[in-house]
Amino acid sequence: MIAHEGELVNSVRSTFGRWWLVLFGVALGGVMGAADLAMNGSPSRAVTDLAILGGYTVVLTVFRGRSETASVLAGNPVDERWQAINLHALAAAGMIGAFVALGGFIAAEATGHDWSGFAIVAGAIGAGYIGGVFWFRWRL
Amino acid sequence: MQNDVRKLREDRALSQGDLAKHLSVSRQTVNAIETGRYLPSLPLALAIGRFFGKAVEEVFHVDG
Repeated sequence: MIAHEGELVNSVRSTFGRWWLVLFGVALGGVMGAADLAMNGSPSRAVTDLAILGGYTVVLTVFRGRSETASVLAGNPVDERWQAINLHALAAAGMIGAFVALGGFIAAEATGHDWSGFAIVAGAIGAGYIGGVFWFRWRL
Repeated sequence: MQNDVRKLREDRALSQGDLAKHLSVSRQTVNAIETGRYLPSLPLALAIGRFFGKAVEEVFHVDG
């Protein structure tokens, strides 16, 4: 298993205790809500963004002490099997993200729409994967 | 890979939860190891062997 996590993440966790995830969710929801408000001028959509992300992280934080699944989703796997589940799920999510980005890129290109957003996401996933292989071949 | 974890645990009248507590893992993880769905890491396999007073190869066997 990977023994080292990011120092920044550990620092945030130790500072805010079990509520770090809620703070992260509320902060992310706030940023998304602000962006939504700036783009669409709809306060209700901004509040919805904040409520969804904040609510999701509150539920995970409350239930992670009673459910191993919630614990993984909250970013705190309870043992090595749950760490392995977390890694497999991350890999599956990355694979799905890559296929969606590539499919979106191809569909946008074929229909004459702007494909730059899909290309950026696909490129980031590809570069992240290649970078990850080189990083972990050195670390593991 | 097969293992004797369930038999060893039942011989000692332990529940999966009891064993999980001793090994500092979840009960589901003990169940997954017993049913062969999850192959434990070497440190956990060593801890399981040590807990039952056996060598790892006495607890875990290659199929066939």
